[in-house]
Amino acid sequence: MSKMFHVKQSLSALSAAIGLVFIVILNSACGAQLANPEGWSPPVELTDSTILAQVDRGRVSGVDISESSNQMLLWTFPEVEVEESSDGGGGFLSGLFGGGSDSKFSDDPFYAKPLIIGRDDIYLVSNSGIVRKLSLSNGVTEIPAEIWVTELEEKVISSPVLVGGDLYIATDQGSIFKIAANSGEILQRWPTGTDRIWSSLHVYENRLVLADISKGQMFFLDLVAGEIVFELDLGGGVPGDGLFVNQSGYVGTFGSELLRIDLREPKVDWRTPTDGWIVGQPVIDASSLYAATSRGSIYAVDVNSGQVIWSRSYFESNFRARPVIYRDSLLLVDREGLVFALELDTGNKLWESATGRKTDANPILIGDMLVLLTKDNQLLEVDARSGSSRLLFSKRLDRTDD
Amino acid sequence: MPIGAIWRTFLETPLVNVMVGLTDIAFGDYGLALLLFTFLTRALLFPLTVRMLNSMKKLQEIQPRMQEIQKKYSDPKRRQEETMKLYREAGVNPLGCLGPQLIQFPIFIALYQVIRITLGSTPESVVALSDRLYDVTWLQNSIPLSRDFLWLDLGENGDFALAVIVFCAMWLQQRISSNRSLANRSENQQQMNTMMQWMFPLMFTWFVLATPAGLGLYWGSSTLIGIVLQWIFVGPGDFRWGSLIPNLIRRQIGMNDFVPPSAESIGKEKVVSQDNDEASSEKESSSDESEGSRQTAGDGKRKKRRGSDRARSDGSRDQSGSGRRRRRKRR
Repeated sequence: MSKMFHVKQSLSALSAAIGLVFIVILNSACGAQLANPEGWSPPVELTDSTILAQVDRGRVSGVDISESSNQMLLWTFPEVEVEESSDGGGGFLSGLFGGGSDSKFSDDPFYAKPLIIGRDDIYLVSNSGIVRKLSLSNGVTEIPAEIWVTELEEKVISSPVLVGGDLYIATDQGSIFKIAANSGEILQRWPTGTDRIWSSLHVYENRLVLADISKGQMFFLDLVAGEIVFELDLGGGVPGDGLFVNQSGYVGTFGSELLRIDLREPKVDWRTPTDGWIVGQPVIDASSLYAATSRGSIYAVDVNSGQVIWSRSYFESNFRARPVIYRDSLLLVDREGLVFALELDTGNKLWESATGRKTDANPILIGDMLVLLTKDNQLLEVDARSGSSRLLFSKRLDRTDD
Repeated sequence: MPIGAIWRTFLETPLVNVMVGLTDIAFGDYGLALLLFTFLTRALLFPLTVRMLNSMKKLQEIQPRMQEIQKKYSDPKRRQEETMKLYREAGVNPLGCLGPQLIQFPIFIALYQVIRITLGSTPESVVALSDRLYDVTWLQNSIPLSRDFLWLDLGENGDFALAVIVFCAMWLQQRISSNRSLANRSENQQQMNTMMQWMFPLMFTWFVLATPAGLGLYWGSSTLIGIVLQWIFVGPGDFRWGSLIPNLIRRQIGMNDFVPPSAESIGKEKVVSQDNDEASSEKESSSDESEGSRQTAGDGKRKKRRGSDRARSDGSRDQSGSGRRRRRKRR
């Protein structure tokens, strides 16, 4: 065989080898970071000692926090046998071939906050747009009964709202669905002309108020006329929930601004520039508004003028969760699980506590305890007075104890 | 510093910022930004690409002399020495064509991650994007990025139409890169060429189906640019558009069978076209003489074969340059 063919064959073999190396590099380079949706639905209180939380991705559980750790789990919905998996985070190839999941619900977590109406009715909306109405008529200790289930066939991040017997849900594709709360029937669907809505819905005087991410618009949907009657340009997409107090709405944007919206006109009352995105919902106390940014800054702003009262920066932090006001302090949790307490009036740090567990979900305050749901679906409690923390509940721990 | 951190700090994060910046420049259109990025990458790799294409061109040009060596020397050692000597004389590096491909691999891999990070396949990744962006206000304010381009959702996997386009583009690139008529003497080589012709396009089609459409857009557009460059600098080799229609179908629609041109005819075409470049147009007659002297330097069999080649490749002549056709008539 000629040298030319030797060379050509070598080239072909080399190309094949490069192809294989390419696949291996692709796998190693992309491995651990191939992300599945995790869901940041916050825990909510069912009773004084019982909370509803996503302690298993894609499923919600009733947890009695007054019990000892291995007795806490009351029920989990949907009820399935969990398939054990040794996969520690997937990889490029596992992503291609579909690996890395714990149960058949793991790929469909909850971002929307569960809507609790009265003591019995729970509305759950999963990321893939499966809407369920559950009933706790047998008590919080019993697994809830499924009343109806409806599929929207659009992804959902935004939290729903119930108005006059109808459930309104905004989707990641920019639609608004109206669903009959008693039957689950889809009554209407409005396209907003945008493609992503993540912020929760609010109702102001027969108008559904919502803001989108892509266009940076606030939409006002007239519930009587059934049409969008006003669009307000916010100058940046709204990735998180707004705070609505009386006729005012406070929203943070991807344009690194905090805004107050007058819902009556509607118009922008003031804009306050910040150093990063405001993804977490702002909180209000008397005449001060508090918001945390994705670049680690916390702002206290006068609600009337928008003037910054004080600001503090923790450059290593990225805040997604909403701050919590506890007595005279402001409690913040960053995405890495670092918890801060700042003085409300001055912004001075009172204490700092590293939980060592990543978290995106909004924390809830129960008594003196701040309850966090971590990204690995464990419940932690942090003492709001001192910052000391402990593991409250872990599904794995529960399984081990069993 | 662990390799993951190096990868992230020096390739992935800068590329995230480049893509966000390009999107801002491209009127907020991520698809246009990807095309812009492809052009920039190809422009940066242009010197390497030209070197590779020149190597390919020279390899094609020396094919007749290579075949002469094969015929002339039966001793493999001597044959190898003469081949290497020919490579040296022609300034050809057979491995030189791998450079641009090798450099594109890490870009391709990093771009896969960058698309997932920037387009936010999950809400968490959109929020985490803040950690990756440099502290530049206009970069920060460019978020979120639009995922739509033409019919594509650039962040979604598995666009079939895009996969078909990438497959066709890669198949064509492989096809014009490998000269079949040169391989027809070795069954092994022919099999290898056929395997490569289908393996790479199929492999990348699978990648396009299994990764975000943005990556397919990058690879498809990069491949198309590669085809254009190759066509300009090297030519289509023995590929003719007519060969895309199988003879079975050609017969059914009343066309003549397609017969691929032989290696010698391609080699000669190349030499002739090179002569055309070198000789000025006003000296056509002297150019003919020089070609004639080259022809006499070859053996008689080659002359006959060339004649029969011309007769056989009538079907493919439509694609040949008109200047070349005039030259043949004159001959």
